[in-house]
Amino acid sequence: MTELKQDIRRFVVDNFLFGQDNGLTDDASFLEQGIIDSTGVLEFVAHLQQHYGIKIEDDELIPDNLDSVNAAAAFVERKRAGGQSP
Amino acid sequence: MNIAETLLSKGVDDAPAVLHGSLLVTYGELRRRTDHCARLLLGLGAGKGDRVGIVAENGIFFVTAYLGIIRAGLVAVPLQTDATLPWLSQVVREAGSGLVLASRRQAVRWAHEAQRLGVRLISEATLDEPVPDRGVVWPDVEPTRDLAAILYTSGSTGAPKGVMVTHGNIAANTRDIIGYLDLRPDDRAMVVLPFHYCYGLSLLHTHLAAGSSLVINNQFQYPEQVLREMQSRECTGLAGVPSTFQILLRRSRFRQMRFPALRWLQQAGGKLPNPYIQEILEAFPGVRFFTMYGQTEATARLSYLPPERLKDKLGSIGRGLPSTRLEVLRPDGSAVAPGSNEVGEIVAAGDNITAGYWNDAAETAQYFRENRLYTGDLARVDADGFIYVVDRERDMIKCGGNRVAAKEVEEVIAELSEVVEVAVTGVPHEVLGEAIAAFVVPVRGVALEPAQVQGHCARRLPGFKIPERVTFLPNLPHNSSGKVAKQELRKLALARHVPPGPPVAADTQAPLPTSAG
Repeated sequence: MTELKQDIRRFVVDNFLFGQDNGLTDDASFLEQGIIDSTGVLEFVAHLQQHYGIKIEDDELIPDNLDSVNAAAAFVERKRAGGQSP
Repeated sequence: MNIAETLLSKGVDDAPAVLHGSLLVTYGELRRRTDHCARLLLGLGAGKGDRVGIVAENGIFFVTAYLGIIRAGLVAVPLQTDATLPWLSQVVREAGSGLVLASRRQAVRWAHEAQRLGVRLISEATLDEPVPDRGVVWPDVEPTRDLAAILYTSGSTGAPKGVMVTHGNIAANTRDIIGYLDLRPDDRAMVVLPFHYCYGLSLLHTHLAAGSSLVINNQFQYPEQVLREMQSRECTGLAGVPSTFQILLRRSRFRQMRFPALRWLQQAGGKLPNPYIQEILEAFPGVRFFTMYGQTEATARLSYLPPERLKDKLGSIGRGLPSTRLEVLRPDGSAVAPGSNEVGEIVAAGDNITAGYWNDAAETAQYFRENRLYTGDLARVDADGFIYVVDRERDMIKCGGNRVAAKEVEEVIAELSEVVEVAVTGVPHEVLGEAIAAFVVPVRGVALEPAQVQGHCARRLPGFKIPERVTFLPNLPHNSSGKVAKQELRKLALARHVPPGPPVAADTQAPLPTSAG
């Protein structure tokens, strides 16, 4: 899980913060911080699907699943274990 | 009369004006807050005609600041929240704004820059402070002359251009839009478009003036959330640009979900390809769908297609508005022949045509002549007077002696159900002048090959209109208004396409067309 978080965190910092970490915490909301716009979310989802070999359904595109490093890592874990989103 | 007063005159005291998350402001409260903000600004020494910037996300604060500035006889300059600081600084300097009202988040981002520019930054929190209750002399407003707002857009060069909007412009356009949409006090619109953009602002103007309600949701990143809020708030309408509807149709459960309260959908900000319109009509048979056309230079709206004409006039922008006369003219100024394939430029006249560009006489003289707006949009007219936009002049691709409308190719590619969004543009080509390049966003998890896209085009279009290059992307670059940033795509095509394509012998070039289509 820790490695997964680091992985996701690196993607977010590289792609949406231009490599500047800016003290992003793992539970910081991307929406509240204004980090990811609507095309950014789609990029993020495309990355998660490709990189972790999971399929994300349209109705799973909700902040509960994707809006922080912690949320996304937990979501990927559940998907890989074959579970459903909350 | 001051347009801020006019816009706030209809809503009854207890009716909700704006709903945002857990926050709600009624018309009574909004009138009180607007008055308070206006007094605060006048108390700071601002005088009639002074420009005041607003940098804020959609929310109750933006609405209060915008109306308060205008109520005080000052000129509102809404700024893009996602623009870079250098661009914004240029706008603030250009507009000569000594005051900028900023939301809590933006005030933090702006603190340093404002100091550097010598601009006084007034944070959202300041509006909560009491204003000394002394008499205020409200400046008189002459509606056809006095400015209510300057709306900045990026010109084709990327340099900011400020469109000067008068009180009278807003009054005329707002009246027309309320009329054709038939907006009523019990309407409740879902707003996902930014208020700093003329289309978003027109939603604010029209719903306030109708005494109806606006539901603000700034999280279109998660379309599913927006749709759920539309259900729970019982929204009667949704307004979007093409990408809004394309994302909803192909990346959410929009079509499967039910919206019993929904009365209308409205779309502007570019042409939504016909296949998507058809899908919406099939999914929501009882809902009135408005396709609309406009420009910032015309306050917002220039024309709309009545929903009952969607079947026989699909793809048309309609015939203008009650206050706005549209003509399609040849370069010599005469009208093109109706019912022919002749293409001319759309030229508009009416009370919503703005006063031109702020501090830019040269650009103003180019687009605003003899009280008319030259839109730069190319169109033809059918026998009934319905106007069909062919394309922006700058979106015509000049390819081997042919002129190809990017929009026509986009429409054909959009017919493929595997396609979420598509943009077609010309990229430099050493033999053809320009080559047609298509950028396609496929539905997630679907494998699509360039040959499939080209094959489909080949069945529907003459050879010279088939894109030479097809690039798949996870999403298209959009500007803050939601429009596809074609300049970015051209850059991308150039970066990806080195070295240039193999030389083509002159005799293999596409034949000259008999018609530009």
